[in-house]
Amino acid sequence: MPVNSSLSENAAVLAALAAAAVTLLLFSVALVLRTVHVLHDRRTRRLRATWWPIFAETAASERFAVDAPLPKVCFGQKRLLLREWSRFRNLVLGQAAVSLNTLATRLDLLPLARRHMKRRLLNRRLLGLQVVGQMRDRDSWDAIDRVLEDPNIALSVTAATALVNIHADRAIPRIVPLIGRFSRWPRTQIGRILSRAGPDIVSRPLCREIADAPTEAAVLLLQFADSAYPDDINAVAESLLKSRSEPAVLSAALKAARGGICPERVRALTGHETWYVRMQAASLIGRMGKDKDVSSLEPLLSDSEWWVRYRAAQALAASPFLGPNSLRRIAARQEDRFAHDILQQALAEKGLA
Amino acid sequence: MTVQSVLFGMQWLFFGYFIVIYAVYGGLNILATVQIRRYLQIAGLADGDNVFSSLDLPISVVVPAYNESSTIITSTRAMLQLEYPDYEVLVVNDGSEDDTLEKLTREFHLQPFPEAYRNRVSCKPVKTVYRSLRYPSLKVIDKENGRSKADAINAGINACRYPLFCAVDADSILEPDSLRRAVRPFLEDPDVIASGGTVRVANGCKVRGGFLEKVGLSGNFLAQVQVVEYLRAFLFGRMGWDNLNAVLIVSGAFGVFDKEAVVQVGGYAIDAIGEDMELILRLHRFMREEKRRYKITFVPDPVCWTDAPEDLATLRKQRIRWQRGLGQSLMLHKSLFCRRGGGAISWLAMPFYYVFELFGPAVEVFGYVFMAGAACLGWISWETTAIFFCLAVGLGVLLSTSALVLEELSFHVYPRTRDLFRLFLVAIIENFGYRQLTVVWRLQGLYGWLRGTRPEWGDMKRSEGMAAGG
Repeated sequence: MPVNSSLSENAAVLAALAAAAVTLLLFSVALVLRTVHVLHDRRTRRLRATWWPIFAETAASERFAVDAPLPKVCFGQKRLLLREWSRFRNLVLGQAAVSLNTLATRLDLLPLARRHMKRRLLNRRLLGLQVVGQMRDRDSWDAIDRVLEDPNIALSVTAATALVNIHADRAIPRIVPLIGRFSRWPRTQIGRILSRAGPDIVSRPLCREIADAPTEAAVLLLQFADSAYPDDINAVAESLLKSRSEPAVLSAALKAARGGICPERVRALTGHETWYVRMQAASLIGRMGKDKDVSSLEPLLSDSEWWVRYRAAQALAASPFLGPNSLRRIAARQEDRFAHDILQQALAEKGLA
Repeated sequence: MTVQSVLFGMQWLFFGYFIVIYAVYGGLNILATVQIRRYLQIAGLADGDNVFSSLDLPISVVVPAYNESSTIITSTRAMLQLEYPDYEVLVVNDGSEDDTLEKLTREFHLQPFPEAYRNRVSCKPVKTVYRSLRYPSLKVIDKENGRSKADAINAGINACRYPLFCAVDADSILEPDSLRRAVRPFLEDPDVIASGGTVRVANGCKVRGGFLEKVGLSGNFLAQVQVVEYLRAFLFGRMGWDNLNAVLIVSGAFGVFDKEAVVQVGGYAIDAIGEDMELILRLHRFMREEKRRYKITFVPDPVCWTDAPEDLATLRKQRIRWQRGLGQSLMLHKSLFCRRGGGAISWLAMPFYYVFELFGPAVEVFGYVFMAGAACLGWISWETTAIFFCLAVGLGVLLSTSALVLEELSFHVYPRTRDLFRLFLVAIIENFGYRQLTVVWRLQGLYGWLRGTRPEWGDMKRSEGMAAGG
């Protein structure tokens, strides 16, 4: 007695046919994507073979930048050329970069980059932003600035890089306050932007921002301490250590400081209730390298937290005032097994065990 | 209720089951496409500038090794050559019975080191910690055999110096920039506590000195099918769940973790069959119970390559073990299931894994048997049976093809167009026999888990490329 199941059968037939059709469509899409990729690859290789030697010669001698005859570029190749130029331009600095910018002007790449900035496709907008930045196009400043607070991280970070390329003095005071607000900006990218701008430009706005920032932003900004002058960072770290009580800020300030700040306050923090503050205090004492701090580090060898013991032991092992024999004597007089073990480890790491 | 209405209802049940499972997969596919596009945009930004900075987080690479004498030197050498500014490699010799430790000692000039070892997560006692005189960033931990990979990784976690650790199988082949790629989510989002990477099948690839030299497709059918399976599992499975912060598995072959988060949950569970999934579920549960912000994320880049079984016996044991691990992990953390305030993980991922991944094989096998039986008894026509089988096959092929599209949209790992055709063909053929076979194995795994018997571990036979170069 076969069941009359025409409805479910029909539905299944329809679904199976739809699945087959979509599968074929998807596989065609995969093939098209593959073909586009292969063709794009081929075109890029050809274009690169022609243009990279010209870029290289321009970077070295300016000849092509000024008046040497250039190969013809058809309309379809212009975008690819823009991308390749941008890639090469990323590799050079100084006079070579100036020559490449002149060459780009000769090739009329700037209007194309500006048009790309206004496109809807993200990768084109990114390319446009990158190129106007590399070509230091001051006329595009306002247009780039409008993108700086875009929720799309790729766009906002590229805009920040472009602004710094165009006018770092003006861009950094604009960007630094945003770092605390845009906590999802990739830190490595921001670190690179700041280090490219250099401490002359970054140091003051960064330290000013750190001093006034709320807890989370201060902690985030202190991570970029390497981009500022040590004296400026020490000053702001010292002021934070005196005025703030949040463990996260204290720890970040201790980590950022390069030494040369009030030793009494740092020593006091070796007794802080939060272990990572004690750990950073031990590290900083080690970096400051004062002979009388040996006595403040020794009790930390018996701390309940391994990391505090370890940092204290490392600080002692690195102390210029203690030779191998003194260190071994300190290890020997430790009654606490943990203190003894951790100092032994630090000595072994230094090859002194 | 007549037999006719029961049969009618059953047909609709199976039909509905297939439609729902593939609708969810379709949804995951869309989410994965969005996520991969977003990821590639940001990754493209960083790729132009590969200079390391002081902001890169230092990381400890933990390599558990049990009787890995044949590969340990090459893989340790490869790990020591990864492109990352600040990392250490901790090889944990888990009481190997072969000469793993002797080989390591000879090759890397190991010397006992007075490590102030901390027992933060439980593991079998550590006998000696060694440090290499030639490579200061290499340590070898010699411990008693803990009868599980989890126990060995826990010993490694106890000796880690850095805030992040990467658990990696001794026979995994890593891309030189794998650490940089897997650590990036931690740099971009302070809430990230774990990050997994895409694992690819190494069979058919050329391997030299522990690194992948040339990507290729194996001639072995089973290896080819697993290429498609891995594409499905990683590219749209995990990438789709990643969009919802509902990733339930970070592969044991390669995963980066926030050490403190893992220590807080007690490290890896030493008696878990699927220790990788169990840890991720425990992290989800702990973070949700503590009401902390967190993210377990996934990077789609192919960061790790692994050898897939090329014979049915090993593959069977692997699939049975995986299914049992899935059952154990899901049951251990059943409190995550449809829990108030549990988010996508509680209301989407967990129900999906229970219904379709854990009990799915039972439904599928029952469906096949029922349809065939009903057709034999003349209760339903053979046409109906054939139509339902075609539907199952069609949806299966559709799913695999969509994974191929994602691959073409993103990484184009297999360079030859011929490979794309081969994979498409495999995606069709796998539905005629292979898929049914794996469903039966998974059902065996499910049965074994319900009965509580211990799983078997198969001796992995290495593929030619791995044996020659790994």
